[in-house]
Order: sequence, then structure tokens, then C-alpha cells
Amino acid sequence: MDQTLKQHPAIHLEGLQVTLPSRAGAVAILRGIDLSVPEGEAVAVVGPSGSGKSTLLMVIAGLERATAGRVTVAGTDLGSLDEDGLARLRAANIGIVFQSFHLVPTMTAVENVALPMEFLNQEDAFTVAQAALAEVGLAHRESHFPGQLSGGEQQRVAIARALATKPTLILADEPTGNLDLATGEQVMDLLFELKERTGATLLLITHDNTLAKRCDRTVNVADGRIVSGGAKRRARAT
Amino acid sequence: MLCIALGVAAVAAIGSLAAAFDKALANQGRLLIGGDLSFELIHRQTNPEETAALEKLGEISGSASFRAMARAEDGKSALVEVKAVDDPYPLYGDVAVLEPKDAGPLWRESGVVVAQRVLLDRLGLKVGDPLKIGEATVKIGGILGDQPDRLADRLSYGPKLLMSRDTLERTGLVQPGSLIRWTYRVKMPEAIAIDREALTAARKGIETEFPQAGFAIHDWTDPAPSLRRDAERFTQFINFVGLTALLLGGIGVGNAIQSYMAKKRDIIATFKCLGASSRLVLNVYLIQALLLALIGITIGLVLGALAPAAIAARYADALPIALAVEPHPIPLLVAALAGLLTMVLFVLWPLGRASRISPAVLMRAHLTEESERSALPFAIGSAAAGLALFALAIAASEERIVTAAISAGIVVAFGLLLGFGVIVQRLAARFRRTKPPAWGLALASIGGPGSLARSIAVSLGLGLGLLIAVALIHTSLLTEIESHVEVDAPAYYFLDVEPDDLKTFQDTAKAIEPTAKLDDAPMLRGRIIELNGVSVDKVEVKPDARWVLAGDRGLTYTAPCPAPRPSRKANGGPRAMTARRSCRSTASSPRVSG
Repeated sequence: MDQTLKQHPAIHLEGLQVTLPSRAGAVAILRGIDLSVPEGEAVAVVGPSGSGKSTLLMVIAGLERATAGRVTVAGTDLGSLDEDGLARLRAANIGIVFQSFHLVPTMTAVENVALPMEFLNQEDAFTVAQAALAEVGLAHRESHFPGQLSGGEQQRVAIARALATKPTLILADEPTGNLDLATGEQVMDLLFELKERTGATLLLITHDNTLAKRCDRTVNVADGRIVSGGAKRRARAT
Repeated sequence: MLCIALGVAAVAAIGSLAAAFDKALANQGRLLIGGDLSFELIHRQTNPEETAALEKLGEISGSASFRAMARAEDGKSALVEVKAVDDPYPLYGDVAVLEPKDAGPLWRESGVVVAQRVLLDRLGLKVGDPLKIGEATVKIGGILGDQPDRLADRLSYGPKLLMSRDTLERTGLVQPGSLIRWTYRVKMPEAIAIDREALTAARKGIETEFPQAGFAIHDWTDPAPSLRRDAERFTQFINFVGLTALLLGGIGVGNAIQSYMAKKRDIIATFKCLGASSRLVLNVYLIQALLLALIGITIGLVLGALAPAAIAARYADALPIALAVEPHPIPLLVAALAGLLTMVLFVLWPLGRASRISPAVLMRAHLTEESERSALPFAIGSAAAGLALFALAIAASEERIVTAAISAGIVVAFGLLLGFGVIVQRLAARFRRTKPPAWGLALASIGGPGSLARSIAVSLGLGLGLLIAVALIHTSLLTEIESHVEVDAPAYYFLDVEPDDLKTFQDTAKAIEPTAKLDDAPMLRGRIIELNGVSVDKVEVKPDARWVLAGDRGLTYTAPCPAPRPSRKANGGPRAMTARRSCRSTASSPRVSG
């Protein structure tokens, strides 16, 4: 692992504020978040709808800009990066798993998995993608299009895609939200297993308390603020 | 792709046709005027000094052209277009004698003529029969086919007849004042003839040396200026239609791209979440668009390049000259560039906007196009492509001011229509809660995000504008023609009706159209030589009226003064004018007083 990353927490947020414009006026989504997540930790972020969980994930992924405060991911201050810099950071360090899978429908399973590596001009993208599909038990489905796969299979392809670049940080936004209970459990078993195997940090957005309990820590967000679970990070981060 | 293909095909076809016509004129210039240079005089031959000056330029062939009456032995007669030529004729090309086969230059024999078949049919004659022209009785040696200098001849009033200068002398028709067009064609040394500067210098030399000679001079590089000018005007009009068609195609492409990119929002956002840069996303879709555009442009170029061949094959008989059926690279290049620029004009901006979609749309579904980032550089790029397109259209046009005005008009129309679309969209948004619900929903759709109001306003407006422009130009041309036509001008003219046949003709016409009003008048052809007792050489005439005195005119006469002309509204049924032949030879020159 990169020497720089060992010296820094995987995620470090200081006084994070996000305010979005709307026709009715500016809306404060995050109102001062302080959070530090050490490498390898699995953190669940829970809270009611509209509390700011997804926005928090988007800011950490570099998909949304902070209005105020400082965001450091994988040792890099996101405020110093432009759009393309953020894209490169995501390609190299972050794997994202979405609730709605977001596979490209015109590409086969193996092409979907190879996509982030192709963005990095990685020579062996398809070899690595085939291996990643095999790890999630879908080697036999590599030439299938997303429309030919079940919901669980699609999410497993999405997990393979998120982990194929060996990211140091996995961001998962309600990954079982579109799956039935049994399939959701299988998918999460897989996600945690792969996280343990790669040593990556996991930030999991969920409404499911059972799922949250499988993480090392649960951060409770309400009305744009951390109401519990934020303190532990200080102990681990320092 | 189809939009671009059709637009490019229109521009390429028009350009290729114009180039095929220009090249045909240039390629066939020598054949069309019968030499490298031609000098034309009316009423007189060159004097010795002029002849000597022309002979210095190269080999000369002189011909006399005039109209005369040809009479068969049984008394039947017909107006003919006579051309009397010397031995060097033709300097370029060949005269075809259709019958008898391989007869050679029969017209060079004294007392022998070759005539078009229609003359023989009209007079009931056959090859070998005698024919009286002027004072001479000549033998019809053969049937005349194509001549190399046919385009240089004036509008024909009768069948053509070719004879030698010796035969012409025997007719006795060459008299002082005879209306004869003397043409001297010069074949220059090849090195000088192909050098345009040398050609122009030779032409200018004769003009300078004999400023009062009154030569009408043509050279092979521009053998038919009036035909070329007509073609240029027509090309200008059609070019406008082609350019607008291409722009309409571009708007179609732009709309299609916008719809396509709207469907790709999630995929673009996914790409970005996975690490794709904006430039990579732009390249992905720009490559797609350009590949499709290239296919469309290729199809359009193939169709356009084939247009001259198709027109030549279908309308060969109706065209004054044979089109140069070959690829014309410059118009094809212009069409390809125009297609490409149109594509960039209408595609770059929507693609640029799409490439800047925030990846956050995947998780924040309420993000709409209003909150997307500015794509100003792409808007500037599209505008630059638009300017380049108009610059190309202006540069490729012969009438640059007209094209520039049309281009500016299109831009203004585009802006006005876009503004109209915005107003419609805002009005619809304001009244979106109108009852009943069907109206409210419809207005909300027009006024809401993703509305097609602007693009529909521009597409429909420009499309209808094009149709109206074509209709207005058509009407304007008709009005222009009508303004030069007499209010009570007859629907038909019938010339050369023999006095003995007039009653039969009138009966036949009444049987076909009982309401037709028939007028008849005796007619002769002649040249006006005096005006109010003053020789026309000494009369001051405005330049735009000089043509009346320059050539022979068809003249009718009547004892009572004609009634005042009825207004156009009062004009009744169809009207026909019959001209009875009343002179024995049109080569005579009656005095006419105004």
C-alpha cells in the first residue's frame, strides 16, 4: 500500500458544510461534519431520509463539492482537485457500489467490470475483470448483458467492478436496497468478505440496522449533523 | 445521419451541376464558338485592314448568317437560317452530314447545299431536289446534322441550311443593307490559345486597333456569357435552398443528439463515477457523432457526385450543351466541409453540455438540466463552426453579397425563432395550472424542463420559411416575366401561315377552342433603317432601346389603328395571333417610319 496512505486516515472531514441552491432559496444539507475513518475500518452511516447521508457519501467520493470545511480522502485534499483530478482519484482509489447498480446496459458483465481500469489505461483490464468476476462467482456470466442478469447478479457485477481496481476506499450507497432479503444478505456477505480480503476501508450508507451492526462503527446522521458515532473516530484517528 | 446525407447531397449536387456546366462550357468552348476567338459584324464584312489584323492572330474562317426564304419548285416556301461558309470551315470539330452516308463536305460544292431534315419535310422535298434561294436554284446535297458552332448562332426561326460562299454569291442576297451577320473565327497557335492572358491581349488588341468597328467578340473561355449568367443565377437560388436544407438537417441532428444524450445521462454519470474525465466522455460521443456524420456525408457526396450524370442521362436532349460528367472535387469538398461544420455547429454544444453532467445525478435524482454546469466553451465552438459554415458558403458563392445577406437572414431568423420558442415556453409555464387537466398537463410539458418548444419553433419556422422563400422567389420570377408581357398578349402565336391556308387554320382553331379570339396580321421580317425620316445611324437612341435597331424585327401592319388594350381583368378567353406571310424574301430591308 502507498506509504502516504499509511500516514493518513482513509477519510478525514473537518467542519464539512454543504449548502445547495434551490428555487426556494439555499438549503443547508450538511451543517458541520467532523469525521475521521482510519484505513481498513468499516463504518455504517445511518439516519432518516433527508438527513444528509447520501450527500456525505457524494462529498467523500468527490461527486459533490463542499461549501465549507475540508475533505481529505486517501491523503488528498479534494478541494485542491479539479473535475478531472477528482475523476482520476476515484478511478485509482475509490470503488462505489450503488443501490441501483448502474451497470452500462450496452456492455457485457466483463466489459462493465473492466471499465474503470480502461479509464486508467490499464493493459490487463479484461484479464483482471475476468478474475474479479470469478471472485464474485460470475465467471460463467461474463459475456451476459445486464438485462440478462438477475438483480443479485447485477449487484455482484457492480461489486466486482468497484473492487477490480483494488481501491483503498469502498463507498456503498444502500447496496441491498433493490434486492430481496436473502439476496441482499448474500451480496453483503460477499462485500464484507472482499473488504476483509483487500483490507479496504468501507463506508456503508444504510437504513438496515442489522447491516449497520456488521460494521466496526455506526455513525448516526440527522439534520445534517452527526448525532452519534463520530467520537470513536477521534480515538482511532489520533 | 439521413438529415446530414440529404443536406450534403443537395449542396454537392448543386455544386457538381454548376461545375459540370462550367467545365462543359470551358471544355467545349472552342466547339461552341467554332474557334479560339470569334469576331462578329452585322451588315458588313471586314475591311482589308481588319482582315489583315485578324489574319495575324491565326487561321481565319469567315461565315455569313442570315434568314431567307427557300422555295420549292411547286411554289411552297419556308423561312430558313442560312449559313454560308468558306473552305477552312470548320476550324474545330466536324459538320455531320446525316444523308447520304460518308458524303463529305458537300456544302463546299458550288450550287449545292445541305439542309436540316425538317426543311425537306416541310416542303415535301428529298435529297437531290432543287431549291430556290434568292436568285439561285441550288441542289439539296444532303441532310445537315450537328454543327460545331451551333451555340454561337442566334435563336433559330427556321431550319438551318449550309452552303459555300460561292453559292451565296449566286443567290444575289448579299446586297448593301442586307441583314447578314458576318462571323470571323480565328484558330490561334495552341500555346497562345491556352494562355488566357495572351487570349485577352489579342482580343484587346483588336478592340484598341479598331474601336469603331463594332465587333462583338467572344473567346472560347466564355463562349456563352448569357447562358453562363443564367446558370449562375439559377445556381445561386438553388444554393440557397441547399444551404437551408443542410441547416434544417443540422437542426434535426441537434434535436436527435439532445434526445439521445438525455437518455445517456445516467451512463455518462456512471462513467464519471468510475473515473472518466469530461474530455473522455466528450470524445466517446463526439466520435460516435462524427462517425455517423462521416457516413451521412459520404452518402450525400456519392448522391451529389452522381447528379450531373443523372441529369445528363435524363435531360441530355433538353440541355444546350453536354454536361461534363466527371467528379468535380471542389464542390464535393465544399459540400463535405459544409456537412462537417453543420454537424459540429449543432452537435458540439449538446455534447459539451452532456460531457459536463455532474456524476452526482446518479444519487441526486432531482438535479435537472438547469443546475448543470456552464458549457460556454462548447457554445463558442458551435458558434465558430456556424461562422465558418457561412464563411464557406460566401466564399464558394459567385454572388457573395447576396449569399452574405441570406446567411445573415438565416442567423436573424434563427435568433427570432429561438426567442419565440423561449416566449412560448415561458407562457406555457405561467399557465401550467390551466383547467381542464389535459390543457394543464400539455402546457406543463411545453413549459417544463426538457421542453422541445425551442427546437420545434426553430425547425418548423426555418422549414416553413424555406418553403415560403421558394414560393416568393417563384412568384417574383413570374411577376418579373408578366411585367414584361403585354396585358392582352396572345396565348399562342402561329407564324408562317400561308394566305391560302388562313381560312382552314381559323376553322381548325375555332373547332378546337370556340371561345378563342383570333387575330391575324400580315408579317414580314426586316430591319429598321429610318426613324421619322432620319437614318438610324444618325438617330440618338437610349442604350436599352438600341436592340430594336440592331437586328431584324418581325413587323406586322394594319390599316385601322388598333383598339386600346383591354385591362388584364377584362381579358376574356384565350387569344391567338396569326401572322400571315406577306413578303417574298426576308433579306430585303423595308424602310419603316415610327
